[in-house]
Amino acid sequence: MKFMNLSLTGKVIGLIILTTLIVGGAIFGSTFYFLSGEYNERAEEGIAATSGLAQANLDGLKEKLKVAAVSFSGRPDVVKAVEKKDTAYLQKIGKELTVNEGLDFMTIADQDGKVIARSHSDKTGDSVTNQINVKKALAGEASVGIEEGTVVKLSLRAGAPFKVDGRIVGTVTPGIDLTAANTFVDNIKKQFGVECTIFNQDERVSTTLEKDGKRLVGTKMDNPEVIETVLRNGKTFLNRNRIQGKDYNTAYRPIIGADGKVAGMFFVGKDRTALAKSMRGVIWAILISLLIVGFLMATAGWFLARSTVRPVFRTTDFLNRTAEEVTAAANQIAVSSQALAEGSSEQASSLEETSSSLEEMSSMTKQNAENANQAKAMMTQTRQIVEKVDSHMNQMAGAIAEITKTSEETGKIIKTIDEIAFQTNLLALNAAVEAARAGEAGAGFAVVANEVRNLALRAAEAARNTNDLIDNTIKAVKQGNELTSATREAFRENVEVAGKVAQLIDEIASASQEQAQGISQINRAVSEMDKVTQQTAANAEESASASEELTAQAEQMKASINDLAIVIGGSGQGRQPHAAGERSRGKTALRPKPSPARESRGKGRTKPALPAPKRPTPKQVIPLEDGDFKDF
Amino acid sequence: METAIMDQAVRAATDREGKYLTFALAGEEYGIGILKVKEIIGLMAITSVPRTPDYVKGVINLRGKVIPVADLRLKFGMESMAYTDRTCIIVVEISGAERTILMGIVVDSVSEVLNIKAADIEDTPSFGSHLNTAFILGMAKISGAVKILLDIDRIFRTEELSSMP
Repeated sequence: MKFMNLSLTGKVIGLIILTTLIVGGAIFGSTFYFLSGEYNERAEEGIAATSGLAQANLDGLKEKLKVAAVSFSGRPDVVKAVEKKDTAYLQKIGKELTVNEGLDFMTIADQDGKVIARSHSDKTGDSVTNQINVKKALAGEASVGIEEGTVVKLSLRAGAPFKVDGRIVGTVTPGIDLTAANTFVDNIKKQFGVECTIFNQDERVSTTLEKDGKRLVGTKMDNPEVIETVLRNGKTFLNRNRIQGKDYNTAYRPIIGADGKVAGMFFVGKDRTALAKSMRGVIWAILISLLIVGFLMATAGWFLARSTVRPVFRTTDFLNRTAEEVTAAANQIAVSSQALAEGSSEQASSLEETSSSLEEMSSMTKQNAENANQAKAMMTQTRQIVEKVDSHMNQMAGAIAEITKTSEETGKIIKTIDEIAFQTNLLALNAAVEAARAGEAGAGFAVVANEVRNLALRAAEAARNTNDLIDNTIKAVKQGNELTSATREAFRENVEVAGKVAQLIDEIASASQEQAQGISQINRAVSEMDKVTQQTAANAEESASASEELTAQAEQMKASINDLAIVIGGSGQGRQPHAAGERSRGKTALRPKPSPARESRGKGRTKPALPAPKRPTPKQVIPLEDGDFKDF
Repeated sequence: METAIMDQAVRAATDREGKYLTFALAGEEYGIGILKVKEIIGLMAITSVPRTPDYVKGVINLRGKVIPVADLRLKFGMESMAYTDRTCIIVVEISGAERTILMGIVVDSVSEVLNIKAADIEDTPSFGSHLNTAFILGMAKISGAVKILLDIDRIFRTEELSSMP
């Protein structure tokens, strides 16, 4: 599980645990290092000091021994006894002294080095001149030193001469058996609380070390380094050593024999187990406290993270929805912008068509105007012609009127003649009547009357004929007149019509003019519309691109939200970017409990139980200061 | 009695023979005996007299003489016609009970004087007992057409005696 895929809570807890671990580790490590170092140093120092002290103790013992030897050698009774070679007395005194002073043995020898008395045994008479102390004492020098012996392997002996009047009469060599009953080492142990061992060369001759309840006397030093340093080089070995399977802080001092050579080693050591135990205890305490703190902090962090994460998730949900809505809206905008752009382009194309049709219309209008003008001119011509015709007509009408008048007058005359004929007829009839009345006498008159009547009739007939002719003429003339009138009327109508036509043509011309103006206006308007349409198209394009940007931004936003969700909720909580319109309300599962913290508490303290590589990324992602947790 | 009747008939027939003045009235030709005709004049101003029958148009002044004028159309119950320039007034002598009255009758037009033989004159056919055709002397057949010969006396006498409805 990659650290980055953890949820926020996980990260926080991980961070806390990590911090705890790091801090704890640091504390632990430093504590361990320094503490253990300190402890070690202290232990070493302590051992060194103890060793020094022990050495001092030994030295003190040496001095004590020497003093005892000297003082003993100064006791006159003893001197006398020595002179006398009073073994029993010397033995008694020696025993007393050893008991009093806490010595182990005392050997009193004479001036030749032969043993006069021993406090620890009855053996006398042997020579102890091989002992350096004795030698020195025989030389008149009080000394003290460690010597190897046969019975007592390693002992601290002092030697002092018995002097009588400046003459050496004997020696006394009190000694402490360094190996006997381990009193010395036990003392040291009791006094300093350290293990103590006295080595004769490399063999333990007196030790407080025990194994299975038995002292390790007789065992050998197994550390060659120690042997080298101390026995060969005669230097103090200060270090840790493993003795019988245990670690000790050890100090090995060379025991310089009375002969000046390294006779053995003086060891003090402190079992490190206690130290280790205390260190362990400290470290455990640190660890446990760290773990507790870590757990508490982790819990607090968990709560904090949860309290942070839930609202954040709500917010991210909301933002996601908003982003989706924005995307949807942006898509709608894009679609409608697209539609707008298409419509605009269509509009532009139709505007083009309109423009071209307007051009045609304009040209046609121009032509119309020209035609109208031509027609007007022709109308004027026509009018002139018509007027001419009219005048001619008028003239003709005048002539016809003349004819008519003349005819009418002629008719009148004819009428007169007719009347005369009629009257003559009447007269003739009257004459006939009178003639009839006259009877016989009027017969001739009747004939005359008849003839007159005939004449009258003829006249009437002629008049009638003439009348007929005149009537015909008049009729013809009337017809002609009518025709003329009709023609005139027609021409007048024509003139009227021509006038109307001229008016219409005028109107057409002016209308054409206006039309041309209107067309030019429309043209302008169309070009403006074209501009506007283009602008609209551009705007629609911009709108579409802006909406695309918006969509992209929304996508980015969603991606960021996704990232945030991932950051907060871990990779399991991250969501894929949804298609527009989809609503996903994935309620995030419960945050994983801080099990790693629990794990780490149960396992070893130094083993990082969290599968968390030490990456600084959580700190980067969640800029939480450690100080934020200080409240917890 | 037969000879009386035949004489009467001959006399009648003979009486009817003679010259007649023919005139037109409402498209029909009528004739009046020439002896009855005094004068023929053209139309002149007629002074209308009130309280006279319709057909009596009025009176005219004929050379100092006042003569009543009647419209024969209206007398015959025909439609009155507007007077034309051919309309004439025939002054006739009507022999009344005691004296001879001059009367003018307005006719459409005067045609001619015809000498009609007795052979051309036919008696008036009877149109049923309802119609009184006494005033018609007879029918004259002249060149295919029939001219009605009027007895002017009877025309005006009848309504003198009787009150015209």
